[in-house]
Amino acid sequence: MYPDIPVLSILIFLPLVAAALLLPLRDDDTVRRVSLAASLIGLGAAWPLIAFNPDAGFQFVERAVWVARWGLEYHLAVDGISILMVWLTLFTLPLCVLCSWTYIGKRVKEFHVCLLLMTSACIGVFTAMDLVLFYVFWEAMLIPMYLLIAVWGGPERRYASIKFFLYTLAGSTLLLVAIVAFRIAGGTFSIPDLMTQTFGFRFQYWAFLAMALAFAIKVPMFPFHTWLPAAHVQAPSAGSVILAAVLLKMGTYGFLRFCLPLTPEASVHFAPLMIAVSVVSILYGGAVALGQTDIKKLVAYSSVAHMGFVTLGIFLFQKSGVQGALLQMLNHGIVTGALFMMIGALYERSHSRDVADNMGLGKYLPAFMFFWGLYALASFGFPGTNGFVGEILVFVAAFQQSLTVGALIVPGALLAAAYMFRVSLRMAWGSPSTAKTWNDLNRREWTYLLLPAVLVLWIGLAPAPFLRLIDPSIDRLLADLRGRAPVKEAPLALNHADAPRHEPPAVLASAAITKEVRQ
Amino acid sequence: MNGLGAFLERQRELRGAWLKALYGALAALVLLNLFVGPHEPHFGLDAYPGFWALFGLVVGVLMVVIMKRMVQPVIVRREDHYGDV
Amino acid sequence: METSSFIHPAIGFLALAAVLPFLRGKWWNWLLPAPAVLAVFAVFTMTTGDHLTLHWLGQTLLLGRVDKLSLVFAQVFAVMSLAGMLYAMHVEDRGQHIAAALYVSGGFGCVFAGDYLTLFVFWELMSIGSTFLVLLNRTRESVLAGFRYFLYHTAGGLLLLAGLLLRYKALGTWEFTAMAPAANAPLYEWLILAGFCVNAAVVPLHAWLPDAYPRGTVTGSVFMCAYTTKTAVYVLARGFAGWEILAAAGTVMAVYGVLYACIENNARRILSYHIVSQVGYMVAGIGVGTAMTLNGAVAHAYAHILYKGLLFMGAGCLLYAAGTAKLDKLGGLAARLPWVMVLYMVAALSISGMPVFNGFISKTMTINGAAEAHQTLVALGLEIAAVGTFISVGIKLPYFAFWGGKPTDHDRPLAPIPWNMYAGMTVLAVLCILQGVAPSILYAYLPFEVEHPYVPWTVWHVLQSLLLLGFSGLAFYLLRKVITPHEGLNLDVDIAYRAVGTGALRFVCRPLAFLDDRWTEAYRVGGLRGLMGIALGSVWFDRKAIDGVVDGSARTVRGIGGLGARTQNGSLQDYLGLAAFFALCVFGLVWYLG
Repeated sequence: MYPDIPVLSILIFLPLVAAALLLPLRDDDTVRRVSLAASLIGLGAAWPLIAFNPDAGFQFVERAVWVARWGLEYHLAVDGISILMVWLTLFTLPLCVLCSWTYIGKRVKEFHVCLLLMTSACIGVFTAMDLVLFYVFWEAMLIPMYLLIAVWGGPERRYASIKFFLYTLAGSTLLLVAIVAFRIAGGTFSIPDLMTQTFGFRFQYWAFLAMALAFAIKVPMFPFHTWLPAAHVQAPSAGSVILAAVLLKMGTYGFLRFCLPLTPEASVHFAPLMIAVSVVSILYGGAVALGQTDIKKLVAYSSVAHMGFVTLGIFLFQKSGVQGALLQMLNHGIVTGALFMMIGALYERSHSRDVADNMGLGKYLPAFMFFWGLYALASFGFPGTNGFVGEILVFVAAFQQSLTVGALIVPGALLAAAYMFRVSLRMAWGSPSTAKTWNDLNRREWTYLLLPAVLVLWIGLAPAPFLRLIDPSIDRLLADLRGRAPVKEAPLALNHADAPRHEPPAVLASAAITKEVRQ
Repeated sequence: MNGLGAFLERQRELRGAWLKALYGALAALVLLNLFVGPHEPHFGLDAYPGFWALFGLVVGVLMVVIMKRMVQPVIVRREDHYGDV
Repeated sequence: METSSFIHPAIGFLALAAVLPFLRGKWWNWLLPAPAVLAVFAVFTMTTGDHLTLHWLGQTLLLGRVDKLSLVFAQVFAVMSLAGMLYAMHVEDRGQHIAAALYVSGGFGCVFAGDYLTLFVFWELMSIGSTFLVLLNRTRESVLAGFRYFLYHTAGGLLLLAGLLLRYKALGTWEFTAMAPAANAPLYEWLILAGFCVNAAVVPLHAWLPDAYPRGTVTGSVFMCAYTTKTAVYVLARGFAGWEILAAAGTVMAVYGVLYACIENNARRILSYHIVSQVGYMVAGIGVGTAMTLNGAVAHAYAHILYKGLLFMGAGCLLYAAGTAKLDKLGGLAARLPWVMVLYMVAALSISGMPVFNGFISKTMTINGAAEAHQTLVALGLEIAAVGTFISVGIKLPYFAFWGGKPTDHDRPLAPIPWNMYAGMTVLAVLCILQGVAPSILYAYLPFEVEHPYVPWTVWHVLQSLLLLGFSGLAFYLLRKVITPHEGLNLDVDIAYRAVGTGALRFVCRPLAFLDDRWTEAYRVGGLRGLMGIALGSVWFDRKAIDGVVDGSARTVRGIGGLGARTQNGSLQDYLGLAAFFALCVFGLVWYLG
């Protein structure tokens, strides 16, 4: 449709331009308005992405030589795996701007600059097709996030921000080593080109480990998860939103984009380990969440559990599992982002994240509790919400592959229901109510809560269009994986002719339920 | 209190008469059982007249006595035993 | 040419739930019975067959499987929804109506579901609707009970989910069909059975019922008593007819329920245990699996919804008017609430199986069917339960609620009972009597063909019932001082799952949270400090060692050129350090791969 417009570059550089525009501004409100406008323009600029064709591989390709001597290219593209993440990032920015409208009072300009830089880096991460370019964007997103926590965060922000920074940096260093190794072994930094090559098993083994560690820290998978609760608790509301909605997805995106296509045999080799760690993440995250009284920490640990479902879905190597994983990446972004926005709104009223200070909201803030209830239901995967679709796809894959895995994650779903319901009940009906003087949602809060709610119900009830976007890419990914590595096939469904057929009891056969209603 | 209520109030005084009527009805039923029986007894024993009367009385008495006098004292706790109330 | 017609009765209720938050004005209460009227209309005009197929997530779902079995349940659900909505019309709390509407929709959805996926979705919808019917009572007791109820039903739902997913894996289909009983039935059939039995309150999975139902709202418990358990009966009848374990389980339930009902104090808890008992009749009938007992189970379900609803309505009126449902606090109310008493007695006599009322035509069918199938123990158990039923619900409850050996209590303040509550009760009472007097209006809808139809109105059947009930009543009269209810909580199997819940929290979750915090601290103390230590060490190394080397060499070079000065800045050191590190890594990799 628009073959010549470099859409992806525009999406990456537009926030940078907007950030530059913000610098000379003095008035806080103007800053906010410009930032909001920029985010909406960014959404508008993504209009050509509607023409995305799921069946054709990488699209909106932009390729230019960057540093010829080292073979670095400026290479961007999207395919089914990244398109949802790009949209998610684009939608998250205006929501972040809206939810920090009254939350952030000092250094507003710098705050929005950070948000815009983050968005730019995130889109870069999801669309980069050159390993070094990917790495540059991956690292580029660290500093704004560090600043978001360190400058505008809670009382222990120094500790949390440094922890986040060092943890992630440690992982990324390994990623860099892997990237260099690929260059040496594969002769190029270009991801699509590397995907066509085959590497020896020993190489794959170490490359996978290096990359997986970096991504596992990002996801975060147990036992590398401890940076997340601290970061979430100390980060400002918008920081938590973008952290949960977008940053966490980079880890799982990395698995899908790098580990599976570039190191297929190693992926298959390490799959049992990854599955085991995922299951532990699901159960551990849920169990620890149940014991929390800090609402933000609870949602943080629930993220560990949710992302456990995602990594599980990926490493089961079944179509429905990867579908569920990708969809959960989107769903988690929407739902947990919305939950953090609501916690932020609550914090603005109570100045506390503890459940005890946020009780009895049902009577005074009914609209708030309605949205919270909806997102809580989506969080534990109630039918009709988007969480159910993702979860059931992962469940199908789990049970297809192994009864044990399926049996182990069922308590995970129960834990999710338990902790979400428990905290929601106390928030709604706990007494004594702390909400007597609070106002219910204002217009701005309605705006930023309505959109995710619509998505929750849309994806939950009619997921077909979203699945249509991702299915062909998933098919290609899995076909490629199966072609190059010995994936253990799930036992095929029994042929109906072979299935043991019990005879129904004689009485039922003869006393068949008649179809005619005798009047 | 409406008409029905007043009626019921009056019947309390006629309690004795009601009780006599009940006894009479029960006796009549047992008498009838001598003549009318089941075409297909379920347990064999229930073909005998008075079986169901005895069954109802004995089972009822046993149930109440066992539950109320023997079982409940063992399993009963304060209302607030679980801390719910 | 028969025109196919199907309006899903859930539609009206879903629409009501969606619209209710936005209605303004005073008249919205009158809208409440509307979806029920629509449902009744829909049920009586729908044609049998498979309607409403839907494609979702690449699967084919069947939302409207209509045959005699689903039709009869849908019919009674529709009638009950009308009575229930009438009864609840006066409630101003819209949340309760929304919860009830969602709950009822779930019930209809389950009954018409042709495949397991649809069933699961509506099963969960019922679960959340009924949870809110408990929560919205808004007392601490109810909120806690609602939480336990929700967790329990979610667990049951997950058992069902696991079962149906495994079944899909094994058979490749979601279709909801009968599963033949076999000694070596596959795991997934047991899992699905377990999920169904949770909702059916099979002992020992039943404890949620007496825990939650007495703590629901006055009108909410009326809805709850009808739908959750009867939907479970429907799915058991559809899927597990003839499974012998159900015959045994049902008999145990029937007796267990009445035993507890004899010693309970709270009127609604007596009725709740009674539900366990009556559903036991149905489960036993399904377990025996002959056409007569299956029909008996269905007929009993139909009649039970009507008279149990009426019983809960009566107890609800007591709660509404007097503020308590505890029998030891009631008494002496017959003259002040005469119509409540009369309508209650209609239900009480129905449940006991007194001739003229509908319990007589349904209960005895099951018992006779069991006896005919030579299941003597089952029949015996059910007869014992019949005695207990009459004693506890038929006499004990109304006696202590309305009389209790106390004079008429003129002083006690009673909230006036609104007309719509009487209206709801009357609808059900009339139907109880109608069915009892003209059983064919119920029998016409029974789904299974029997060789010889059951005739309830024979001299012997009437006589036997009267004998049984009359002498049970005598037993009560003789022991009326013994059976007096006292305040107290009777322990049930829920001590086990409460222990699991609190135990898990205390011994797993809190310690894990504690450990995670400590470990995070350990990271800070050990890891971060360690890292900072390395960093400081590196700084020292950087300054003293590399610096020294470079300085030294630079001084040497300076002697040659003057370049030394330029090399003496930090950036060179950094570049050198990074390059060294980089080179080491690359060298290592190349060596490894070579």
